[in-house]
Amino acid sequence: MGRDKEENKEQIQEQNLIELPVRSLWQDAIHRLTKNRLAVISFFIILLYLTVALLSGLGLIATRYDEQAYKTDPSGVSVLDSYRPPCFDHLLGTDIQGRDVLSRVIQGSWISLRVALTMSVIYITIAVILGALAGYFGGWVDDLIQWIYQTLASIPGLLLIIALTFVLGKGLTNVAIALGLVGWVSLCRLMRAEYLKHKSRDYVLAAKAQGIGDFRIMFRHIFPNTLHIVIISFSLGFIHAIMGEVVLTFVGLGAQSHEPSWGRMISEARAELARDPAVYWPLLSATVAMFIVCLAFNIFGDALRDSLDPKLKV
Amino acid sequence: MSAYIIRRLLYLVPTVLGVCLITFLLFNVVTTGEAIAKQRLGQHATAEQIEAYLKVHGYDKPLLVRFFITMKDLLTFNFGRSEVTHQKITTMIFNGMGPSLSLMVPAFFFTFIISITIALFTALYRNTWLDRSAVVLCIIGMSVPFLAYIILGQYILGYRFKYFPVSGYEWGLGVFKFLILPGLIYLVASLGADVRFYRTVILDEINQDYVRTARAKGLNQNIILFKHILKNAMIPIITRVVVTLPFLFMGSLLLEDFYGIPGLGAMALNAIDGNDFAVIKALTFIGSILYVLANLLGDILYALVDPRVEFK
Repeated sequence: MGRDKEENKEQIQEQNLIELPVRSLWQDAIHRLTKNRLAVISFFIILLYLTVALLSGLGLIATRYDEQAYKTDPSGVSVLDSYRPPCFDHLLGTDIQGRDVLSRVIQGSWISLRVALTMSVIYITIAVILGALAGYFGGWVDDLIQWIYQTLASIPGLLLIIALTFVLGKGLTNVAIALGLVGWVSLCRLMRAEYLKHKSRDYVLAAKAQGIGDFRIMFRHIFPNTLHIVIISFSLGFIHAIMGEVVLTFVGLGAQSHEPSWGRMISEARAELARDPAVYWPLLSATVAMFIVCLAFNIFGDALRDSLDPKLKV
Repeated sequence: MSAYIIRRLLYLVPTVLGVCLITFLLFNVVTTGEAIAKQRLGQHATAEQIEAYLKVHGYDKPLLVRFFITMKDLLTFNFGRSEVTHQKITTMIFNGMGPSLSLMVPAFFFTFIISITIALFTALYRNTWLDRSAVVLCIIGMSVPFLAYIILGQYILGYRFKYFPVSGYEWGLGVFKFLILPGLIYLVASLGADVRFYRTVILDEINQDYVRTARAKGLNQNIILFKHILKNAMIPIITRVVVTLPFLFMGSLLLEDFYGIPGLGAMALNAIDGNDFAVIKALTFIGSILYVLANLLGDILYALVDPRVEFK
């Protein structure tokens, strides 16, 4: 009995000696992220953006974005209250149709979120499936998939997105689809490399020995171990989607004139600034909104990468 | 070296075939001849008009035949005529290249030099307030949309303060005054991403053993930076430069449109506006070929800066 106690004591002492906190990859990442103050702030900005976007998407806030304001001119006729500078009724002023800019900026967050999510679903699905197939099976499957993405990578991205949206037809959904169909190459490369690395690991061999099917191994066993790459890519991908929407809308392929997208507001600014006095508020509102969201995603995405996989070149 | 280049050239064959295939698929499978004809001729086009359009543009032939015709046309740079201006597309591209190059080459060159220099400085003073504020500025710069840079730059510097002409272009040396403002905007807009990228690349090298050895030998800091570190950081730098090269020819879509520069970027925008399928097709293909060639150049440069590449 006495000896057992001694042994227990020793064991406890040993445990004390090695009492370094044991954290999983995700716990460690969260620990590091919370220590990075900028990342935490960015995280809350992103959360706020997502909340605002979802609420306006559900029609709970900024519902009157299409409503036109009227005013009475000196002769007593009711006319469109267009280009009213920021005031108490319209905190960010009104646009050419007398519509409230603040409401439209808020609705714009929903549009950008929609574009980003559609794009992400498409490109992540393609990248993960093709990357997994190429890395796991190798051989001709790998050759074929590599050929596909090398070809795709050798067409300038913007040009291909434009051509694709052009043939798919104009509109935001097609912009998002085109961004997704073109944007999967770099994530696919990373996934392929990751599957190459994992396929000869012991846990995969053990699963194979148990007779588990290839696809189950690929997506149930290996995929969770590559999830951090997908998450980092997803976070940084938002910026591409938001910026891409602006360019394509300006080019005339994205949002049409009645849609309250940020790209639309920035595209129309050229004519608005040329007026006298210059109408700056729609441009400024949309740019600042985009700037804050992109900045938050940039900082948070970087911090995420640094805490999950600092060597990753996304 | 020549064996290496020949090998690389052979690698181009499947890529160029793939590019042809994608271009073909875009205009024959993703969208159909009927859809294109309807968009070109308008809603009220009669069935005869659509049929005539299909016949003229070869859409009446079977898919496989069309594929080989498209392949032949693309590979011989026979793009036909614009559906809007009825000019030969090869002539249009040839005319547009000059303005695009005159804008992009100087802009790209200065951006490259300046961002590398800033990156070297930030890497040299890493983890000081200078470095940190530079990184913060880079991220801030990256978060502003390119379009906002263009619009605000043109408005403030061109329209309000009249330092530069708002837009325009002319042939000859006088063009200089039209190119400064768009060039400057390109510089400012690219600086954030570029500096950050080059800084990371240089920092990857600066902690390597050979740098410590060089320091221990008592080498001058500048020699270490420019001779040792920059040389070893060349591979990622080349990769980044090569990716940009095609855009020197293709120009910048947005800049050319805003500043009235009659380059290929403006041509692409006009084609989108006018539903000019033939021009979009030609530009997609030309852009891809330029990209493929730039990658070939990159591969050759890799081998020049790092002889080990040849044997991989």
